[in-house]
Amino acid sequence: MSGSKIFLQQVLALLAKDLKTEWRTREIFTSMFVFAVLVIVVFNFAIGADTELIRQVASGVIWIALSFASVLGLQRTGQMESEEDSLQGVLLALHDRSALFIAKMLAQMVYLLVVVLCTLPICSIWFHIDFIACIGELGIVFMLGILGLSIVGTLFAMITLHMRAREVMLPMLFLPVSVPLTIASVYATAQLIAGMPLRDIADYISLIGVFDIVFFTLVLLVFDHIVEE
Amino acid sequence: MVHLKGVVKHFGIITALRGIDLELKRGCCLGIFGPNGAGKTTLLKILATLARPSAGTVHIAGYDAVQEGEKVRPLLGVLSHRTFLYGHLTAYENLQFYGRMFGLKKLAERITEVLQVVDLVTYAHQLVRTYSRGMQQRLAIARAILHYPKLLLLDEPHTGLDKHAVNRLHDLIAYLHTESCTIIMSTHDLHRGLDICDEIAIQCRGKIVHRSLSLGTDVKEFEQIYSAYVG
Repeated sequence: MSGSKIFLQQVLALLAKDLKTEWRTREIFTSMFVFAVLVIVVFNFAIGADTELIRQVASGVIWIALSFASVLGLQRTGQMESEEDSLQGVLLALHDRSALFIAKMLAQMVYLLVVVLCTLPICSIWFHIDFIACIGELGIVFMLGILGLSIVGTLFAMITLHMRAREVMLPMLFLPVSVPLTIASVYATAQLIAGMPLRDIADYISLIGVFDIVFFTLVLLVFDHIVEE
Repeated sequence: MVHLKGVVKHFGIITALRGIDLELKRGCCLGIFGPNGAGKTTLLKILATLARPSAGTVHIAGYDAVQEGEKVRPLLGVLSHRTFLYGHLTAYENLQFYGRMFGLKKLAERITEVLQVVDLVTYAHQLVRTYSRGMQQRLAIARAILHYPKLLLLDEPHTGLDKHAVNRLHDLIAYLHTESCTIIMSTHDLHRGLDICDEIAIQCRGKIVHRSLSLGTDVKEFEQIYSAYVG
């Protein structure tokens, strides 16, 4: 069997295993979704009835909710792999260890996308924003932003997996590093909500794209050393 | 089959292995005995390509385990006191997952075969988290042999096993031994180790300090040798 075929097969096996486990337990989705909704509700009450102000800060609230919800998802993913040292079993079966990174990153993307799909209608109602008007453009921003969060998140989830203070270290590393991505995503989303066309936010989209490419390449280069003791 | 030369492993300021030289022929069963902290698990992790030696060379079946890990890993079966299993998947799904990872052909047949070996066919579709510790360890044995490994690494395999499971493990090791599978087992249980291994070694403070054939070695005699090195 060729190397790329084995790689693809292992990515699919790992992804299917993660999604099947999540489908059964719903532990990751539930915690991420509940947290995201709570953030939206709390911010809505904090801002009050000023509709214009709500529209201005809505994109920030959504991306804050996603960033912090990511941490919850990543922590649970890490726990799942460290129970019974399953990660070692996986590492023993891997042809190319980057397959583990790709699968974990894709799983995290799926969780975040489902959270976005479930929270956007809630945001739409609470914040009085019509997301449908710019849904295509928003889709691009969310896909790229979520990809970036998943790349950086998976990287730090793997780095902190064997650390004693994992729960503290993961957000301390992940959140600061993802700040440029979050800021660019917040601005891009805000401009789209304000009715700007996609070409006017090309700079932000480029920034998010460059962030994704740089971190993806970096992780692929160092991942083998990260998972080794 | 296994060739280690001058293997050293540092963890920061701690030196876990201090120049291990080890040669093992195909089909041998080597028992490595030693107290806690002797570096047995570290040695097995290096053999399993889960850790990189700080110095020295490791060759398995002619491949450099550090540089050609992807060629070495399919040859290895690892059984430790942790099962490497997922509690929210059934026994069948766990084996199916590992089988897919190894790209096994005729996977369904092979899964049934290994489940029969460990006597878990009846419980194949039960979630692993509902299993007793002994059942989980038996399933871990099935996982370790699923992909027909050529080198089996057993790290304290008796931990958590009841008498029935220990007997099964010993039967399995004996069976794999006849199939020319090379086995390296770390344990601090001298009696059980002497029973099943045909070569024995004592590892102490990161070095292999004694090696001999187990044939004709009496448990009491070995206990004296062990005490002389370990204290």
